Amino acid sequence: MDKNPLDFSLLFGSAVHDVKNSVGLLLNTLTEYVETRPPVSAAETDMVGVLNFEASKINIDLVQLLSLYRLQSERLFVTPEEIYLPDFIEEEILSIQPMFDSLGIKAEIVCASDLSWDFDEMLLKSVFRNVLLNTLRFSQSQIRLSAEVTQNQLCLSIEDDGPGYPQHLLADISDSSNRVDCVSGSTGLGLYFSAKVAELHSRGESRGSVSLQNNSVLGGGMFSICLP
Amino acid sequence: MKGLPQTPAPFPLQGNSTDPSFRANYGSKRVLVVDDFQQHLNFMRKSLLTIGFKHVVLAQSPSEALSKCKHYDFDLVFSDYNMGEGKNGQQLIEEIRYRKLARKDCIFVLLTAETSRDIVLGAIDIGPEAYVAKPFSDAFLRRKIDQLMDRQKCLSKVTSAIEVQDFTKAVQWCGEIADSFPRHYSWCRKTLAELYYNCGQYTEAIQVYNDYIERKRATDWALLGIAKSHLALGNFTQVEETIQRVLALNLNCVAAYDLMAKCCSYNNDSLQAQKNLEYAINLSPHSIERQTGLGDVATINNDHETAARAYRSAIRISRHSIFDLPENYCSLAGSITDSMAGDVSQEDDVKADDARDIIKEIGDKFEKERVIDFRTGLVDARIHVYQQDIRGANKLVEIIEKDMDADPLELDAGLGMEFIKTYLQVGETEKAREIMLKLQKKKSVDYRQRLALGAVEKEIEDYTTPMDMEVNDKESQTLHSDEFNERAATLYERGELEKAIGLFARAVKISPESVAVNLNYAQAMIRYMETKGLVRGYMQDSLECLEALEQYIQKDRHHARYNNLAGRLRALESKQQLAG
Repeated sequence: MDKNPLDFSLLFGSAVHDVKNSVGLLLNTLTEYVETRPPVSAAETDMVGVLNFEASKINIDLVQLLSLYRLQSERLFVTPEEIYLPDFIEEEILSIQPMFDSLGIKAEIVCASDLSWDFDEMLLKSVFRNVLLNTLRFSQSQIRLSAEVTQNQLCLSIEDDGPGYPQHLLADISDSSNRVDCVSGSTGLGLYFSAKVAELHSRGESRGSVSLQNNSVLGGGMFSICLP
Repeated sequence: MKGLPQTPAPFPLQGNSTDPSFRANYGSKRVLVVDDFQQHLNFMRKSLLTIGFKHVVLAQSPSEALSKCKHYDFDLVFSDYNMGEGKNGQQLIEEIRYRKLARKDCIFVLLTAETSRDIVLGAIDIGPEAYVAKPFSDAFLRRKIDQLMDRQKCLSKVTSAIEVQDFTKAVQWCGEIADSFPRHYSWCRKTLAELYYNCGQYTEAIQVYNDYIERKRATDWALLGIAKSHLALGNFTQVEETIQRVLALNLNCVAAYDLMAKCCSYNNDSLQAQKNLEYAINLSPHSIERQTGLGDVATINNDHETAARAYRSAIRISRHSIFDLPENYCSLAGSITDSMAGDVSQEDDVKADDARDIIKEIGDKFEKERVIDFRTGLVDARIHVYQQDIRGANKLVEIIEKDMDADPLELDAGLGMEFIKTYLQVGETEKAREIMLKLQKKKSVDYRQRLALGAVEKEIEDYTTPMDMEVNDKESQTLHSDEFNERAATLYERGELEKAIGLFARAVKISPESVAVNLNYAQAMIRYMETKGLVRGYMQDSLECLEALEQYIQKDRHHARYNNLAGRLRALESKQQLAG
């Protein structure tokens, strides 16, 4: 037996570090490029949007994959802090503002200005970013982000005016949050990660949960994560 | 310029009191950006200049950042978390803060690719003001900086009052800001409670925490604050009750187990303290303090294997940080040494080499420090004892004693404990007691060291509990027994086992209460049987020896050795059964 087996977490971590550096460079260069040569046609704007989108997606997927690995190997640990929801949501939108702009999508925020809750900001940001990116891809012109407290749980929702979530995803998630399959396509990993993060947030007997529905006021899909 | 980050947000920004005059001030602020990737540095500089900063300093490594901090007075520091080999961003921030290389109100932002705070949490509570996930847009960066500057300005009245130790003012400002800025309410209440706690007004602190819970929510920090205050008041029952409340809400609250361990230590229950710390480490192993804490408590419990593991982890975590201290290496070398069985086995040789390598590493890695030299010297002496070279051990101790006399230094608690352990091993119980008494009088001894002293005190008592005998008589007998014991040990080393066994038997007859002599006797017989075959009489005698010791060896420093011998004897027994 090899006494020093390969530390996969370490290897993975440094690989992610490298790839993320490259992706970051890619995104920054793209931003700079578009600044010097703004897209002149709708088609060009679309292409910039796709480039931006896919690069961000690689980034977030890697981070989540790494987190899931940690979750399995050494327990991912929740560090809750009091977070002001308006800040949280606005920051998330601002951090991917270029994509909203290039896709021409408007964001609507529905949140009381003094709403705060205790949760792990970094984990939730990772969840939120992923769902937001997916929603951007499928929405027509509008995304609605809301936060409210119902039945002693904070519910964060992202809704869009797109075609809604496919049936198999809706079925998977209503089945049991534990059993979300890492189905092919981009939504699987993100949903699985979201469910895990929700579960990690607990308070007494109650645990967090995620849900997918197709009854948004905007007409498309709605993702919600609720935290006790 | 259209399309990308510079466009204004398409939605109304709510609730943020971004003061435009702030932004105008950015031109006078000095910013440091640390990243190992030159391209990232360039982009950050560009973004910061766009936002309105004029003084942006770049550093491509933590060491470059440290030297920049010596030259400039920064208002804002951005550091990447993962910068390859060497220090990470968290460790850099710790070092800047700890060495006071930046003003107290300097804002630190850690840029990280991690999704969990726990991974990047530092050794102690000197984290950055914000964690930011990369990549991000200019708009995000601007917003974050506005927010942090805004917050700092708002809270500066409290922080500067605390800095000049004007607690009355600090308390007053906490109240005013909490009332007029709901966003900072939690911070103000928490700070207020901590102010009371630090001034020794524990009842007031509890009151503030309870008010908060009533008005907002029962949060971990508020409940733990109550528990901590009760601990300071000595209300152990309330501490436990409050911690149970925390755990009912959040079973994975690491800080609750840490505090419970502390409470157990106050109660002199070192076994429960260890259990709680082990549980906490299972949840979150990334804290240096928690690992060294476990090491200390496990040492008290004579669980040297666990202690060695914990110190090793602490050293691994603290690599490249300012908390990479020689004391941890001393403790590790000590634990490895004290886990030796003292049976001249190959396993012991490996441990001795390991411990000596670690001592050598201290010399290579750290500047010379007398206290550390003495500590490692004493560990080395114990290695000699376990390797049955009592004379060598005594010689080393003598040299250290002489050096200490020639250059008397303030007896440090760590060094004191090292002396006690070593004196007990070489049989200098009186000297051990003397140092113990000295340490007990010291004010600087912390609660964990007190716990250790308590354990040592018991051990020394056990060690010297006379069986109703005249003092003179006992002295002469002990001397006699020591003499036999030592001569036997020499014979044992030379491999003359039969002669050694004979002498050990006589030593046991004279001092039947001595754990060390009994263990030596059993060990010599077991070794004989392992090498030369079973002897019915030896089998019987060694069994009796160990059985007699069993009851009071559980928490004894000879525990490891006893276990080792008991295991080997069991192996011999099964061999006997097979043969019979």
